[in-house]
This record gives sequence, C-alpha cells and structure tokens, in this order.
Amino acid sequence: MPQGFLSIILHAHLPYVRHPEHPDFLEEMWLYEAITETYIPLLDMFEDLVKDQVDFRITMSLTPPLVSMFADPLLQERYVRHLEKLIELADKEIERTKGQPEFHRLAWMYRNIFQRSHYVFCQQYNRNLVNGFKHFQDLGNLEIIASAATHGFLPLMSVNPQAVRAQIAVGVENYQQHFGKNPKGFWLPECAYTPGIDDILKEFGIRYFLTDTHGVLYANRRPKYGIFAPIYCPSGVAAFGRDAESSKQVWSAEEGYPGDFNYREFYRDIGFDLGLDYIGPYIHPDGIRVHTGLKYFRITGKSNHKEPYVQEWAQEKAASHAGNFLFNREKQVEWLGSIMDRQPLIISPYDAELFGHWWFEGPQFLGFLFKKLHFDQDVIKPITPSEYLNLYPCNQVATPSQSSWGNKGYNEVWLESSNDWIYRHLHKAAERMVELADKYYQASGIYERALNQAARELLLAQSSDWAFIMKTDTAVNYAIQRTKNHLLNFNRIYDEIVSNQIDVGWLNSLEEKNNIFSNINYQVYRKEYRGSTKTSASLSLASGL
Amino acid sequence: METVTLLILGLALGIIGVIYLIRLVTSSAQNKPFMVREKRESDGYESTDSLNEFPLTMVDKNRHSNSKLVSHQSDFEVGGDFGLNDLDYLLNNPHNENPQIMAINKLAEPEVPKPLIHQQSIQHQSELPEGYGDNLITLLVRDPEWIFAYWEINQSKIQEIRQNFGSWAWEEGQHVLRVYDTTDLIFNGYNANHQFDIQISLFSKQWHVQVGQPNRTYCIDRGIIIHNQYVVLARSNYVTTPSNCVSNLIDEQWMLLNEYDRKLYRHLEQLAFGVSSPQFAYSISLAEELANLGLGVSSPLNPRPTQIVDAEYPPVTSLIESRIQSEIIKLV
Repeated sequence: MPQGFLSIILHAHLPYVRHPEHPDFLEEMWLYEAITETYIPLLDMFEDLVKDQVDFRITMSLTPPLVSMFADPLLQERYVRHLEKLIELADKEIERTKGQPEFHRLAWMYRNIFQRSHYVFCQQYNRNLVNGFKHFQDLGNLEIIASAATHGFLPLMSVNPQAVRAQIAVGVENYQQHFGKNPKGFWLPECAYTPGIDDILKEFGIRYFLTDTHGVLYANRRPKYGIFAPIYCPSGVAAFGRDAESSKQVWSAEEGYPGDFNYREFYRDIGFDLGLDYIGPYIHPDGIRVHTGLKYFRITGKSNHKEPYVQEWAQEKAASHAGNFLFNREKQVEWLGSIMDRQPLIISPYDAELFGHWWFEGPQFLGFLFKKLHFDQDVIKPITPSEYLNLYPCNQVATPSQSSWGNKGYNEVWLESSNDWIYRHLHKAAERMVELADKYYQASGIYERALNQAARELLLAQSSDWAFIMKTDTAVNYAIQRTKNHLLNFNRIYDEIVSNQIDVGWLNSLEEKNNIFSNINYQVYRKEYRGSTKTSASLSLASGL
Repeated sequence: METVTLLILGLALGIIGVIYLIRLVTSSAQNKPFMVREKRESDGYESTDSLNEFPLTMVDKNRHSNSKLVSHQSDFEVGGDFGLNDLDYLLNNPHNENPQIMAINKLAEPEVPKPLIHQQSIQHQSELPEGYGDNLITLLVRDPEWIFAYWEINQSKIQEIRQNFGSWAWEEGQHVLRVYDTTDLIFNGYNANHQFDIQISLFSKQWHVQVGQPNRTYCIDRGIIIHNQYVVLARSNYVTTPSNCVSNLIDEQWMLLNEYDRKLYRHLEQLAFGVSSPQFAYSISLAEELANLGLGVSSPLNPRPTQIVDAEYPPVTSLIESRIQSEIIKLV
C-alpha cells in the first residue's frame, strides 16, 4: 500500500479564435503551435506509457473552446496546411544546414516531429484530437474534467447567478456531447471560486473542483489536513487545493526545472533569426515574424551566448528532473505520513501548454515521471481526484475561501484599471439575455436562432482570456476588439429581437463566423432553469455513439 | 416679352429654391448623427450642453472640491477612476467620453507603429454605449482589501433631484460614495457597523475602493449631499471580501493533535505566503540537490528577453507565454 498519492492535473485551454473571414489569422497560430508542441506530444506520451504497460493516472481539463476548435473542420484543415508548410520548411532546413552537423541533426529532429504530428493528427485521430484524449479516458488512464463554456471568470459574473449557471450548463453539455458521459470534476476557470458556485456545480452532478492553495487553506473552518485532503463545501461538492511546493518546483523562475541550461531555448526561433527572403513564406504573409517552432539552441547560460541544442543531454536532464521531482514527493509524503492519520494527496495542477510549448522537454519529463512512479518505488501512487474520493468518501465540511490562481491570488488580474470597464457591459448583456430568455421562452424558427446566437455572443464576450490579455499587455487590441465585437453583436441581436426586426442575412453570417456550441439552447438563461444530470442513454444519444 | 422675363425669373428663383432645399436637407443629414449621439449620451450622463452652461465659478468650485479629493486618496485610494481629470477632459472633449474608454480608442486606432493583421480584419462596427439608461450601482470583489464599484445614474433620477432640491442641486451637491460595513446584519440603511464617505466627481463612473478588511460584507450607496441632506441615488448589492489567512475556527470532529496542527500549518503558511526558498525538515532543498547534481539553473524567462530582443523581436508574446509568465511571476 502506498503511503500517499499524487494527482498531476493539466489544464488545457485556449480561447476560441477562428476567423473564416481571413485566410491567415495571426492569433489562430496559438492553436496550431499548441497542437504540435503540447497536445500531440502529450498524446504520444500517453500512448508510449500504455505500450510500456505503465499504470498511470493523469487528470486533464479540456475546455469547451479548445474542444470546439479541435472538432472544427475549418481549423483542422488550416492546421494541416500549416503543418505541411512546416514540413516543407524543415526539408529546406535539412538542405541549408548540411555543412553544420549540430544544426543538421536538429533540422531532422523537427522534420520527424512535424511528420509524426501529421500522421498522428490525420491518420491516428482522424483530424480530431478529441478522439485521442477520449481514447485514453476510455482506457482509464486519463480523467477528463469539464470546464465553463468559454472560460468565463465566474466570481466576477456572480451578481447574476443565471450567467454563472449558463457558463456551467453549456460547459457540461459540451463535455457530454464530446465525451459521451457526465463529467466528475470541473475546472473553475483561473481556479476562481466564490461561495455559491459549488451549489450550481452540484446541480450538474459535479463531484469536485480545484482551487489554488489558499482556496482550501483559508477555508472556514480550518481544514484538518490542510491541502493534503479534499474538503466538502456545504453543498457536498469536494474542493481540492493545489500543492504549492510541487508547483514551485516546476513553475518557479528561480528554482524551476524549465530553466535548466540544457533545455531548449524558447526565444531563439528561425522565424526571427533568419533573413526575410528565406523565411518569408513561412511567417505571416504581411511580414510579421512569428515562431515557426524550429529552435536550434539550448538555454546555455544567463548570457546572450547560445550553444546548439543537444537532444540527448536535454533528455537526460528531463529524466533526472523527473527523478528529483519524485524524490521530493516521496519525502513530502513520508513527512505528511508522520502527521496525518490517512494517506495524503498531493495535487499538482499546471497549464498544459507549459509542457511542450514553453518547456519543450515537459512531456518527456511527465513520461519519465510516470514510469518512475510505476517501476521504481512504492511510496507514492498516481491517482485522479475522483478515485481519491472513492477511497476516502468521508471528508471534512468547510467553505473554501474566495480565490483564484492569478497573481496575488484573488480577482485583481481580471479586475484592474486595464479591464474593469468591461464588467458593466458584460453584466448588462447577461441581464438582457435572461430577460430575453424569459420573455421568448417558446421561440422557434428565426427567433430561436437569434436567441441562441445572442447566447453565443454573450458567452464569447465573457472569456476571461480577454481581460487577462488586456492586463498582461500582449495582444491588447485583439482582446479589446473581441470583447467589443461580441458585446456589440449581442446588443444588436437584442435590439432586433425586441423590435421584431431580425436581419436574417446578418444572423446567417454571425452563425457561420461565431459558430461555437452548435447545439446551444438559450433556455439555460431562463430564471427558472436549473441544472440536472443526464442518464447514460440520453448521453449516448447526444454524443451520437 | 414680359412673360418670357417673368418665366426666366421664376425659373431662376425655382432653381435657387431647389438648391437651398437640397443644402438644407444635406446639412441636416450631416448634423443628424451628432445630434443623435449627444442625445444618447445625455441619457445617463451630463451632456455637453449642460456643461457649457456652467458658470465659470462653478467650474472652479468643482476643481476645488476635486483637490480635496486628493487628500482623501491616501485613505481610500482612487484606482481606475479618472475623477481628477474629468472636468479638463470634458472641457477639451466635446463628446464627453469616459477618458478610460477614450484611451482604449486610442489603442485601437491603426497608428501603432507595427500594425498587426487583426486590426484590419476585425474592426469593431461602433462603440459600446456609454450607459444603458439604468439607475444602479454594482459592487465586485477584487481582493481581501479592495472592492470595485461601477454605477450609472439615469436622467430621470437627476430630474428628480432637480425637482426636489432646485435646478442646480445636481451640480452643486456633493457627490459621494457611502460605504457601509454590513457584516452579519440585515441592513436597513441606518444600522451599518461602520460607514464612511468618499467624495467623488459627478462625472465619475467607477471607483476602486480600499476597504482594507478581509471577511467583511460591504454595501455602497451612490449618493449626493445637498444642503447637508443626504440622498441615496442608488444602493448596491452586498459583497464579502475574501479571507487572507487561515481560519481560527476549528472543527472538533476534524482536528489534529495540537503539535501536528502547528507543524502542518507552519509549513503550509510558509508556502502560501511565498517564502522564496522553502527549507523543510523533510526535503533537501531543490537548489542544493541541483548543485549536487552539478546542474545549472537559469530563469526560464527573467533576464533573457532583454538579451534576445532585437529590432525584429515581436511586440507581443503569445497568449500561452504570457499565461505562463504571469504564473511564474506569481510564484517568484
């Protein structure tokens, strides 16, 4: 019997970015990069572990916008086109670097990665990565949890409980549609919790969610086991708190693994390093330089000087870091065992995109970690939160503290001078949506379509990503325009519905453009609407299984 | 001959008339959008017109009251609000727009040195409305010490004030936010545990309020003081600030032995409060461990951008990077 458990949880999310009106859209690259660098490497790692008969457990949230983009034919097509260009570029690179063996090998490495991605994406999973993740969920190694419809920051919309309920309802519905079952767990966007959200999760049969460390640590009453066991909210939904120590080992800028000198340097990309005449066809057509993914250097040191990347060295480091991580978890569990009267649970949630995209060797690290957990020791075992709840169904009741995993731990990242102006508009739109849903609760035909589109526009405007981007000052214009456009679309639909003058042509174009949640039902915004769980029969019907 | 002259004269007059009419129609069509716009803006906020009617002394008086507000800032600091500059903005800005929204407009203009593609491709059709004709104030929680309020006072409320207190009451009254601590009570407007006022400009639309107290419930009035009489314009929802420490409430059913509890929580608090290099009884510190292994560790992001930045370096990092960066910054 192990002395304790470890839950590795990866939060996979990207905002819904899809611009059919433009052949090459800069922000769509977020998805393509993450597919090649994170999602496919993770799936490959899972496959590898299954092949080696490693009994591993991992928990992932795949948010509805991400799942919807995975399943979208236009984005699938564009990704394949993107990948084919990368393969072409890698071919050219193999030629170009012939005289420099250290780079030549890397050009081949990338050629193989891109070719493999093409195979995995097109052949293995039939262009839809949802099939891949679902496969490992069905095998029992991966527990996929649901999340809010568009990653809305729930505490800042909770002045209108129906707005929160709709985010959760549509998120759960999307999960059922794609994975053919009811979700057990729920990823609160940005881990943002405020009391009351758990009551709504309960309606949908959710058993647990995750908070940042202080969400559980500062709970009222004091949790007996700190963050090393879940607590039950008064609603009966369990809350698991993030273990700060294991987070730090991976995340920390000072001590974190990803900064090792042997790992790949993220910032040196041939998209920026090579001449425009050569690299031109592989960056944005307007000449905006972008990351191609071909990066030839290792971090090397703190200076500007960079040495070529050596795959074998990096791999060795990933293995030794996995060993170090495990060693520290074993010590942690042994120490906790001296205090606690049950097997402690260590919850380690990360952004999935850290692994592979940012930390190139991250998926290898996880692979080594699960192998070492399986083969090398008996102190600690990987587990999913729902398995832990099955093992320990009796837990302390306490109300988690309001919290998020953003900087400073509360709501400030999403509510400060750069982005506080959005809330009056978002709240008004939510209020109007509820008003429409109540007033036109039997709508059909064009009115029903308009109401559903209004719901889509509201949800898209509510993405926490836009406020986050405004704050971090990265793609600010894009975030502001997305917020405004969805709100303006919403306001126009509202006016048209109320005045009985629906512009069908415009509605058609909106439905085509902002096409997320094809099955959405605006009735989730009705005041009297409450969540319910679905039977397995109706689920298999819904998911077309 | 006479009839011909008359006919020509008549024709000429007719043509002039038609031209005049056309000019009249087009000029009114040109003016129309502006008129409509002003109308809409005056829906919830002071319109430009009423501002122009301000006697000069009035403006000065307001400036004065604004300077009082500065001294207030140390207690209840102004966050996103631009109250101080509101008047200057309004005087220089005929459209009476929220400076904050204006700043955003500036960003959205294609004057940025390196225009990105999305600026061409997803232009927004128009601007969001300044207000919705509502009369409300809404509170949101920011962190254990700060809450945020936005409000809108509509035209009929302003009329009501003018009717009851005189036609200059709105301009001459002292505009305030009255902050009530309503923790653990059913608030009736008069029984707050504690309350204080923040003086604001009548043009302010939002405020970051430092309440400074975790685990307390607050409610805020958007009010006005006229001739020493306090009038509520709108009353907010209730919000409770989050906790910022471990609870002292211990469950008898769920408690560790004192000694263990202290051990566990000492360890956890160190972590939660971000001690940069935690040293634990049970764990070899990572840095030590890495040093033993002879590994070099550098920060994954800290100094490096400056090393690699060159003229061609992109102005934006990807969303994922910024997510991860902010995560790392948080943990440092």
